[in-house]
Amino acid sequence: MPFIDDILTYKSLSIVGLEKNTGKTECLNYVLSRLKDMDKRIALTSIGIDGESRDIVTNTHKPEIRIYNGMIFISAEKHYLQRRITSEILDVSNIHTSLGRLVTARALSSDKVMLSGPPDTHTLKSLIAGMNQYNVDLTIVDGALSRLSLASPAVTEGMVLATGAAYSANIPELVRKTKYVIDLINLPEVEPALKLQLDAVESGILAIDPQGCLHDLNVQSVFMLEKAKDRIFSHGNRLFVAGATSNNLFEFLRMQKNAASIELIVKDFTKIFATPEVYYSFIRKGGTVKVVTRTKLAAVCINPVSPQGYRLSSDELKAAMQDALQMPVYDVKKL
Amino acid sequence: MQLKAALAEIYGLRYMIDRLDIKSGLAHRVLLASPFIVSQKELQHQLELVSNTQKSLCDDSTKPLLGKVTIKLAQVRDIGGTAKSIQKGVTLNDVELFEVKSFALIAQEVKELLKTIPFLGEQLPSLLAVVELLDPEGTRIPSFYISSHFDANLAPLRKQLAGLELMLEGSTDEQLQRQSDEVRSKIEAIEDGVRQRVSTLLASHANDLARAILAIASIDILIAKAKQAIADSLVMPVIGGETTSYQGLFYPQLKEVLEQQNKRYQPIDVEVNRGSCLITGANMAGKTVLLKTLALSQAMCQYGFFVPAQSAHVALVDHILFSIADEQSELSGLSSYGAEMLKVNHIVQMAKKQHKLLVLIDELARTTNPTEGRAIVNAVANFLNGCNVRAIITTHYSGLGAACRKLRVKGFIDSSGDTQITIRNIGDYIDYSLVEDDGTSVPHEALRIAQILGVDADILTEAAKQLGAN
Repeated sequence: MPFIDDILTYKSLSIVGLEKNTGKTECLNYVLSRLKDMDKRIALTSIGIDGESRDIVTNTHKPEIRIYNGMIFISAEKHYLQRRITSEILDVSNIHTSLGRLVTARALSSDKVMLSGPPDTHTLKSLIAGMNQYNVDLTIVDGALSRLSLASPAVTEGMVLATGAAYSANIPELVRKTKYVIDLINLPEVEPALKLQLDAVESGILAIDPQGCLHDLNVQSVFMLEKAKDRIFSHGNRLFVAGATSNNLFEFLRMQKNAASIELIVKDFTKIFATPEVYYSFIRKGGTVKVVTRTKLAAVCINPVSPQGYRLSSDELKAAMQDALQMPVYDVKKL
Repeated sequence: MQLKAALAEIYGLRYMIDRLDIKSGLAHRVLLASPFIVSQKELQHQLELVSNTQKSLCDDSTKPLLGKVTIKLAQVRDIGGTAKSIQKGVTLNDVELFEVKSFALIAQEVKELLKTIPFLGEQLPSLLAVVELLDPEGTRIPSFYISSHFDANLAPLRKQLAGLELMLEGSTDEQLQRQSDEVRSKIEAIEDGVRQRVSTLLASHANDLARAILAIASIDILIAKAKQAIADSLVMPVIGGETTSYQGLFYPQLKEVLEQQNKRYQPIDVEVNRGSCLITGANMAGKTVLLKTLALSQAMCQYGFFVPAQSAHVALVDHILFSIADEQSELSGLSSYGAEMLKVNHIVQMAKKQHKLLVLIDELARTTNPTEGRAIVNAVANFLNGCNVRAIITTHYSGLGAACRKLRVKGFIDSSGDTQITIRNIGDYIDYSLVEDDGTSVPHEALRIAQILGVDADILTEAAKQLGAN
């Protein structure tokens, strides 16, 4: 049974699609159908709205999410009341979404449901933490659109990545784009002592000297970097950016004389917003990028069919993808 | 006036309300809607409840119980809207039924806990019937769904549907699909029937529910008020009579700020009689704070709180009216003088209508010329002196001929020591207490204070010269 055992080692898991219709929901349905027979308590929620039977953005068929007897799910009031499943309300939270408050319920039959969840990762995080009271073993978060932010290890421990023809209809292009995300996910972690220190830093840009001491550069974000250009490397070549990193930062770093010895540290891969071209030219110059916390990638799923009607060859895509990523890849239609 | 409206008008009231340890949103809503109590009997009852709650909080035999009650209160949901729907005979959905059930369970638990504190629990009606209606299994767990205990037909149908769904998995058999749809609609019809039946039955308990909602809110509010009274050293006022008097009156927010800075806060004794009273005193002598404190204390008392003083007698009023300079006047297109006169006129009109008022006017007519300003002060003081009001008017004008009571803030203590008075320690050299005065002269300490504040010597010398010339 592909990658299910791996998933069970996590407390929380996000399923993220690189684009809509990359097979995220099929992938989730597969995971749930396998988990139902295991002696584990599963909770399920989503970020934003999901589970609608027609895809709102592209108006194509979209599979619903099938929940099994005993699983806990969270959905907004409006969707909850439209459900077909028999379920028992366990809690109604004070968190309001555009679809009403969030209802936590336990499925008493097996059926399809509309999932909707908190609109932001912060609330999602506390919601996942709250699942402890129901002795949940694993909370699965269904991602919405191409939001990678919930795959941050600060929110969910592990992730499943769904990619496919909807992301790009050309196999080499699709592989290249996916590989970039996987490269970021696989960025190495900093040494444990430094990790401990940087975990506590929530904002700003810090220089790390060769002795491992932190120096706050008093720059709020990379957008204010211009002001601190002269001071950035006054403590050595290691730099930690707590917030988002942009093309600007990578371009600036690449152009420095010491580019080859620069080591950029970010909180996790979701903080990198540079385009692949800019990112890779920094790497080619010899620069290093590390993360404070690495995301655990449980699996990569592909969907060879796109909503525009492109149908790529599943085997060819799978082979090309596995070759580039050096890890097993699964076709959601064949799981 | 509801407390909610008073928050915008009474200085320092929001600070007190924000710091109340209210557990549920429901209680918060009920608190903000609480009325300004003018009936002595009703207010006395409210204050006694706070007092009794305070005693229970200090009593080792009841304190742990109240701790448990507080935990329960924190789980309360505001089902005010749902209660109204029940009253109107609306059929509730599952989320609403869940909320009613969890509320009823909590109310029952609170009632049980309060058995030994009857004065708190007696207003809370028993919701046992509601609990039994929504929890036919008798598990007393606050989760809800339409189980087969509501209707015995549900169990076999649900089993049948599950079986059909299992067969349908991966199959497109139309007959099976039709069969499953049929069973599903049967189940839905039964579930809807249950919701209707339960909602109708709930309607007969609507009054109890409404009473329970208020009772739960007021238990929450009382515990919060009593806790605040203990934490902030508030006192139960003696209410009624014609004279308001305080010993050791203080302004909680200022007291806390000063204490944080390790500075001295001087509580004051003050008596507010029927009629008007003019207060003079140097700048920075705390006249404005005194007015704000009087308004705050009166408001807290009549919204059923203990008051910030060592001891207090409070004469009840119908309204608290005041005129204290704020930055709003320019926005309304009026000069500060214009805005002030309209406020004063409103006060006069209210007084003419025989309303019983607490009137607080800060530096009346300060923004116009002293000759006319003094005349206005005398006129207003004289007029209000003959009305059913307790009016305090502060002023810097001297030679006040009005036939009313006059007080003066003692002001600067003669600093014979060699410590330099600075802007930092100036508070230590001011005696904020009030003394009777004749109002013929006022303290002339504006220049001295300006000097302490570090105002340029050129100005001070010139001003002193001008004074000498006069």
